[in-house]
Amino acid sequence: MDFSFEAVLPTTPDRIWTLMIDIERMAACIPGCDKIEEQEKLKLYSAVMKQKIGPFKLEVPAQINVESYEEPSFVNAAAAGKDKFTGTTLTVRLKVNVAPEGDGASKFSVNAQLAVAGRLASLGYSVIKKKAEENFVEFERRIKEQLAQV
Amino acid sequence: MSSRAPSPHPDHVDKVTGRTEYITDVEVPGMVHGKILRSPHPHAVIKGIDASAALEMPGVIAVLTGADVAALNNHWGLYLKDRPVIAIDRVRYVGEPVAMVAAADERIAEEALEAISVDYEPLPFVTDATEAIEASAPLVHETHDTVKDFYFKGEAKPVAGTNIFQRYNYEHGDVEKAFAQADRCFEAKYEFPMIFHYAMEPHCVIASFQSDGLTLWSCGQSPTAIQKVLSRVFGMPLARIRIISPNVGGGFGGKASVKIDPLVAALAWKARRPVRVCLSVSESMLTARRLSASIRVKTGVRNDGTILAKSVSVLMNGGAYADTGPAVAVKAANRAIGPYRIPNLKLESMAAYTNTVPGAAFRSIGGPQAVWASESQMDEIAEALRLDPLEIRNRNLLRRGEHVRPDLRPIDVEMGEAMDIATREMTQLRASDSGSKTHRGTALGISDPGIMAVSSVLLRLKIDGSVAVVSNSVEIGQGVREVLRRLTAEQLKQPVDVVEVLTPDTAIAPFDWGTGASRSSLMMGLAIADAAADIRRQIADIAAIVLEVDPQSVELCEGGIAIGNRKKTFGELLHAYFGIDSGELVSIGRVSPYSNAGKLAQAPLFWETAAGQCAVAVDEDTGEISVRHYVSVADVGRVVNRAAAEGQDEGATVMGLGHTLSEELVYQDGQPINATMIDYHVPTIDEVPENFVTVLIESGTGPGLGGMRGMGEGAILPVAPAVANALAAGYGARIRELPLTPERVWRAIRDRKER
Repeated sequence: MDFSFEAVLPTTPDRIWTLMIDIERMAACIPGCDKIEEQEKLKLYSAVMKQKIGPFKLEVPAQINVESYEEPSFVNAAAAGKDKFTGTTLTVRLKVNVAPEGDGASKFSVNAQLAVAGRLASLGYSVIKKKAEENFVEFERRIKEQLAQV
Repeated sequence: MSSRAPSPHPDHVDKVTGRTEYITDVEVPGMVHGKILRSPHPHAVIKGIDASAALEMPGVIAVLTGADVAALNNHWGLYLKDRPVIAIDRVRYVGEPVAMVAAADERIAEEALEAISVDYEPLPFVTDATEAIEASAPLVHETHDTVKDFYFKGEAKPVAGTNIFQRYNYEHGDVEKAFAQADRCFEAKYEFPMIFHYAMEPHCVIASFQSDGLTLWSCGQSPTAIQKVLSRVFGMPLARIRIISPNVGGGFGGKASVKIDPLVAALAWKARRPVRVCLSVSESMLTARRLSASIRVKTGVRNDGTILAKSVSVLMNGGAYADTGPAVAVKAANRAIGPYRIPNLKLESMAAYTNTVPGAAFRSIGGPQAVWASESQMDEIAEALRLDPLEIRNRNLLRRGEHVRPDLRPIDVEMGEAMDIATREMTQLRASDSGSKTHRGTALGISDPGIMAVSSVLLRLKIDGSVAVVSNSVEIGQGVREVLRRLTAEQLKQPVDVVEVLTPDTAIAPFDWGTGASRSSLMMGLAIADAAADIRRQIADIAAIVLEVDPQSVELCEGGIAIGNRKKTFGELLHAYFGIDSGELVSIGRVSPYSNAGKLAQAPLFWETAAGQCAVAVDEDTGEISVRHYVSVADVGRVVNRAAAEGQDEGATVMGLGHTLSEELVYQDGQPINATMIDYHVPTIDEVPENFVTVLIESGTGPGLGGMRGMGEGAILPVAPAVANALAAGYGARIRELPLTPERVWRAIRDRKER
């Protein structure tokens, strides 16, 4: 499942970068993101993702690895976790790009590839997809809100 | 003969009252239960498996993983030795068995699966056949290890360094030249999806290693093939492996050849206990499915509709392991020819590995895919040439005795007769339903059954006149036991109710190739005739000794023999012969390619055919198709059990309505996303046509007893194109991709209106 969105924000890439590495504020943008911890700055994070998908309650402890980054232009990260109860594995590859756009503004783009494997994938793929779509829409809304405050 | 008419299905009362014994009802002393941990990844390397926590759970007896089967001949296959007994270092599809638990009960086994931790490294995967044959595609298998004459005659022709595991080509005439000379050429591609067999009984096997060898209670349709594969895997002689085949709750090819038997046997071997494994329906969906196909058909015709040339190019999605896919690919090409005179013909077929559930045999292998393409196109040509669909077919139809292909047996039925009957019956049905708006669609299907003429049977005539039939023909719900019972009674001139057909057991029943390809009534019938002739010879010889009569004068009659007006019961005769009031006569009947003066050797043994005609109504607001009337006509040569034969024909048609209207196994991101009973919709009584007419022509021209042909598969062939042709006739909406879901139909009708 691929998701992406783009937004032009009236602020500089530097200020957006400051928000992006503020994990508490970033976590607040991600629906269901709980207990986020920085293990190693700009390298390794852990978090618990909680979601209710149809009749299932998922709790996925996830490791988030920052694979590469260039301040303040891009971050490539990969996250993976498994819900024990449903035996469902979730992996996300995330590419975030920030580029200057005109006078003092920035183009902010997110591209995410989500893979779901395990029991929930066979039982409720379409439900998961819908939920993920909703979450990305919500993520987009929240991050724009946060960025508006930058 | 008995005056009492035999019941068409003597087992029905037992079935509906739950008394019929299936494998799941079998209890073996000391038996434990197995469950399977399956891969959640479409393609991955197994870096490690930790089962220590599972093994510590109370009630867990053993865990089987790939590491355990290193000591075995751990890969097997029917055409390509590509399948590990259990995943060893790599998984190739979502659902592939990775580990198994044997435990005191199913609940403990299921819970223990959760405690097994598998470390995977995902690999690039491919689930689409077109993508799988591209040079850049990830390889599902690096090498191709073919086996020859292992199950079917011949071998696969894979392409090294690619995912292509079978290639097939055939040509007669000069197709390109004929296309150049044709008034019109029509070319289109038709798509047929993956379909699940959906037998009511999921796969179920019990395996037990004892001092005298390995015994399996298997749901497999081919007990001797299972025996052979197990013999190779475990390095055991065939004689030490016994396969017992109780009643099977539907097969349809999903239990043909070999499926979960080596896996269950390996767990029993590891656990050192008898193990029962009964899959859920969802797990059966991850075990086998029909090969999906993209079929490109090009046909060159004169303006009057006469076919000058045809080329067929088939690409099949064979899944992660080849199974019998190589045979399916060949048959899909052959079955796309149709019952028509085609002076210039070119067939090409390929089957490719993908990271999906292994493709397998399914009722008329490759046939529905092929006929979907070729018979849809016949109507497209008719429409373009402004010809009636029946007229264009009639213009090109082969007559009995003409060749479909010069190298195959000539067609042995009159397809024109079948089509005429279908038309007549449908005209009557529609006249009786003049109030509703329906549209008619027609399709014809022919198939060349891949029957191996290798069968044998034992008949045991007891001193009390009862007869035991001992064969490996598996009762999969098709009614074979009743057919064998009736044919035995007929051949020995005894009442049906003295004949018992025993549960197949390879320890006592002689070799038979297997139950499938519409072969069992025919082949086993011929074997019964051979065995009955031997019983008659033995009886005549005994009568000559005991009664001092000319053996030529001895006739069988009900309960015994007659020499003119003089009668003796079997008991009287055998008592006098053996000297005690006990004993039996045993005979074996055999069929081989050399039987009947070699007439069984030419392929196909017969042509299995069907003419289908439907009348459909469409809800234009929702796109929902309702098949109101259906007529199915086939020349089956001879009907032995009418109710059961008609049931087979109706069942095949309704099964065809599944892939026509709703069935499709869907993959997204490497995951089968609808492999559950909730999301995968098979036809219910709601989809069954209100009026259904089956006409079985008894021409007596087949190669079996009384001129019978095989049947039970043909009726599935014309269903999808007949419905699509009716839709096109009524709405001008031509859909070339199955299933004809309401959405697809609604969009097609809307697009047509907007044009």
